[in-house]
Amino acid sequence: MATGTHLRIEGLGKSYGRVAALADLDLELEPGITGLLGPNGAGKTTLIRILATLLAPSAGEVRINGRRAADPGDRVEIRRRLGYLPQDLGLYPRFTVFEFVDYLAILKELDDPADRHRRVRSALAAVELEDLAGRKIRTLSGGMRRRVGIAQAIVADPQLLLLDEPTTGLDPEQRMRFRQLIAGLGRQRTVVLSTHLVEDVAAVCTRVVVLWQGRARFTGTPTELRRLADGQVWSSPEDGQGAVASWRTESGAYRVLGPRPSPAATPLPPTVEDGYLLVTARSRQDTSA
Amino acid sequence: MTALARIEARHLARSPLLWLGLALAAASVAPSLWSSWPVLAGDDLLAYQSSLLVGTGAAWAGAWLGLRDRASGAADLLAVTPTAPWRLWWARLAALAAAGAAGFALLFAAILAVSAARGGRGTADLRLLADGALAVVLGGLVGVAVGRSSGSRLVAVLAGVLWYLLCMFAADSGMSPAYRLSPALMLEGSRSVEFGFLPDPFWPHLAYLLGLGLLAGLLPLGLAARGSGQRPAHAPVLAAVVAGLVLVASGSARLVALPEAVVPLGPDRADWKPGAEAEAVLSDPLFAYPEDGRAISCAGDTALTVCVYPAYGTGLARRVHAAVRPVAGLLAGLPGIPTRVRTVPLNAGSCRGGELQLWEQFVRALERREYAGAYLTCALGQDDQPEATGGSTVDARDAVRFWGLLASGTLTSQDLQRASEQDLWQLQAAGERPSAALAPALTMAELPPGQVRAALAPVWERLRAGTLPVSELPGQRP
Repeated sequence: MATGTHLRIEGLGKSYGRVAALADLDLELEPGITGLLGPNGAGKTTLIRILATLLAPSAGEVRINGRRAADPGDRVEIRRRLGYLPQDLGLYPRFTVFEFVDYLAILKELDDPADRHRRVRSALAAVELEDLAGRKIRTLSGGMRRRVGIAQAIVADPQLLLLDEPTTGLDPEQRMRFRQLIAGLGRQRTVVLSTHLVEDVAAVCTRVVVLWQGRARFTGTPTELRRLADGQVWSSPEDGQGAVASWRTESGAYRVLGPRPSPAATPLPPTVEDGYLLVTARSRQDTSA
Repeated sequence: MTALARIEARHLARSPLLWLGLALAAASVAPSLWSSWPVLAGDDLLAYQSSLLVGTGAAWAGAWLGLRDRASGAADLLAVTPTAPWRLWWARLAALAAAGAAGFALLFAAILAVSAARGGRGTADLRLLADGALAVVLGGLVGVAVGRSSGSRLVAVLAGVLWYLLCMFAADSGMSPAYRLSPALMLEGSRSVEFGFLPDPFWPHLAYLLGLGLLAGLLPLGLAARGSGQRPAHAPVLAAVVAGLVLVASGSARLVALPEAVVPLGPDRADWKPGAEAEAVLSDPLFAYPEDGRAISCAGDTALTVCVYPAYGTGLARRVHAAVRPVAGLLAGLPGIPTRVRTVPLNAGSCRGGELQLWEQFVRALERREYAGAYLTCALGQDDQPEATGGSTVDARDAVRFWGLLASGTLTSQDLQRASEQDLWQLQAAGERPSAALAPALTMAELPPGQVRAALAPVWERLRAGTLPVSELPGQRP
């Protein structure tokens, strides 16, 4: 069983021409599940790709268990402990599910065939694909392919698991099972989960980082993120003027995030999503200012 | 990496692109295989030449393999593994080489099996198997390099076509003897079952291909190692580059230095002369290939014996005899009529002392009409004096030749008419109207063969000398 990884990010920056995808990012991640939240273009995928040693940063550095990703020798050591599920997952359509995961397992230096095959079967069982092991990948649905991607990411029992939008394409039941799987893995490993689905983060993450235009705008636990919205969530008969967010609920009342919209409004317990919306709204205001 | 190579090899073995190359090669070989006399030491060359199309399939499969990671979007998954990219490509190239070589070996063996089943004898030259397999592997490696560096599906499709055209262009470039630098040699006619290839380019060509293969294999490995920070040890790479360059340089130098043609003017190696030197000997009208004691598989009767090299077997001798015997029977007893037909290793068969010498490749081609035509040409003395001197635009010998083909049942009058219209005997080049020789032939064919023979006997010497006017042929009005 793998043990977790200490991940230290210092002054990290990444620019594409004049566009800064990441800027001056400092983070320390311990074993557990860290969720990266942020709108599209916030820099989540760029950060994951840098952590996965696929991208070199323009500034700063990443150390994983003290090893520098910029150093070729260290990079190989980091990769030995890495499981990665990219956002744009590509698989070999002519391979069977088993063959593909086995192929990646070989590249992850699982050399003993019997042990490797046992691990492949175990990874496929974890994502409930064992019955489809002999199916060609080209015949799989999008959700099934995503599960193949997760299987290959966990097959070598990595210490550091980087998952970029892992629940995309999964149905609600699969998503729930995925959360169970990740929650189990996160007890011993360092898992970084990039997502735009706040409920995924709320369900499984022990820590949240909210990114906005390449900068970390919040770092803390999901509870701390939720508490940011304490006293800012209301059930109101009328739409909130000047609220961060306001929408009509099933009961006909408005759920308002922001200052009390009217004397008739009653306070509601906040959610992690409320906290996230508050952070992004404040970030937007800061940027405008 | 062996496990990875096995997975790749398994997939490549099922690659429709590789199979397309094999199918095209099999389809291109089949007509030649069925239309010539089976002999292992000849059909192996046919099998070898299929490497051009199998290599085309391998180039397609290689190009697809080269761009697969990019096309499928799986490149990132592979890049974050600890395995050095060059090691991954090493395994893939090994798999491609194994699958390509195995595919070619399969076709090679199948062609020889068909040849053997048809009665083919002799010994196949296994250098051709090695050379063809190397050419196929090289095609695959070039495909990988093209696919990997371009990343384009269109270019991947073009890779196979370009490989085919490149080989064909090199082989047919006319830049003799540089055509031997083509990965797949086109060597029709330069092979004797008794004497082998003249000249024999295969040892230097094997070295040349091996060198090219090494260099072409290093290219994708170099591309993979670039920027990865994980490089192979310098010493073996350097050694492979040097070995590749040395093999290419020495092999190509020897290939280019080989004479364009070597003509066996006799059975002894001392009699084998380069083309230009042999030309002078062959231009002597008295030249005849000496008795080499090698054409010993014979068939025939007292009137006509046909002998071929043992690798062809007596079956071929019987077949030639059956084709020539009716023609020989028409002219039996006339002076200068050949009574023996023998295979020789050079494309300059002569007609001397009652013996017709036929180039073994010509005999293998199984053209019954050509056997009979060659016999008649010899019998009528047209080898010595190809052009008529009777002041006529029609050579009476052509008319008699046509008659012989008709009267022996070798050709029907319709066949003859068609052949004449198409000038298959190239009479126009000799200043004749092909159809002009046809009319007297048809007239003679209406007479009983014995009557024609009897009428030809008194004028036979003049006919053979080319001085007999057509008007003096049997059935013609003066």
